[in-house]
Amino acid sequence: MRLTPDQQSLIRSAVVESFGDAASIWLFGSRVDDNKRGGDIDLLIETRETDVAAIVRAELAFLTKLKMKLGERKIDVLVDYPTRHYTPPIFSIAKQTGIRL
Amino acid sequence: MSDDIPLLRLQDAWRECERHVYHLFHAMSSIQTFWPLTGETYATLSDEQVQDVDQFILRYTKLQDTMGSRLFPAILQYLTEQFEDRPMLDKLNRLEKLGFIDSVEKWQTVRSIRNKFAHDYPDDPDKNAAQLNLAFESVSDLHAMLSIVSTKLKSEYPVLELGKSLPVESSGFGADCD
Repeated sequence: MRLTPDQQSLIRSAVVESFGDAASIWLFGSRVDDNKRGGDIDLLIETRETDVAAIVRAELAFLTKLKMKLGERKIDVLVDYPTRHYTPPIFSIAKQTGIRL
Repeated sequence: MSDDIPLLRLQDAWRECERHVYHLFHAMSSIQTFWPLTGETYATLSDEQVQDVDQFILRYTKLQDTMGSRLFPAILQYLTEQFEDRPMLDKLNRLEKLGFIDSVEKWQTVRSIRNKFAHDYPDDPDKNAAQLNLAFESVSDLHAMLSIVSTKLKSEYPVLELGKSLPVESSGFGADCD
């Protein structure tokens, strides 16, 4: 995995602050591959929250926190939540191929 | 006619922001009739309503891009601050210190909202609707940020001609946002 221990713990604490400690996090995509360089940070966050407005707010708070700490960097976040009407295949692929943070 | 390039750049950047604010508010007054959105209303918007929403997104995005890439750098340049080659976060922190931005965090928040528009969630109308509602609410923050800039420039640098003043925010918008 190509994230420093510092970056990992920043991401974890920002998720806990925004989504609460019941949330799970996966890193997936090119950052999982040690042989690649640079690239976006692709994250999947799974929350138990069911209110979409609250989820959107939490996601925004999370992205802002990370930006303040990591600087302008491309971070792509998928959020899985129980009341989703349809879950695109990328969600299960992210969980299968990703690394839990 | 002044040949002071930093001054002219700053005036141009400001006028561009004003233009976006004007069209942004116009789009918002059309949207007001079917706002706040829900997943259901979002999924059944008419073609005209989709156009209004698109206009809102376009001007919201352009306004922020103009502020971030033209207005903020132009202010620093006008004040002969040497920040041209520094990362964006350094520029923002400097502007906060100088009193042109009241909160870098607030700015980063509206940036995050804007960046979310780069993605669409075709399968998740609930989320699209919630995202847009949040963006509508945040316009008052954006407008307040511009007001801070204009108040400060007008009081401390009266040579600057900033053109027309910002349109006043349409009343009632942003209220009842929960």
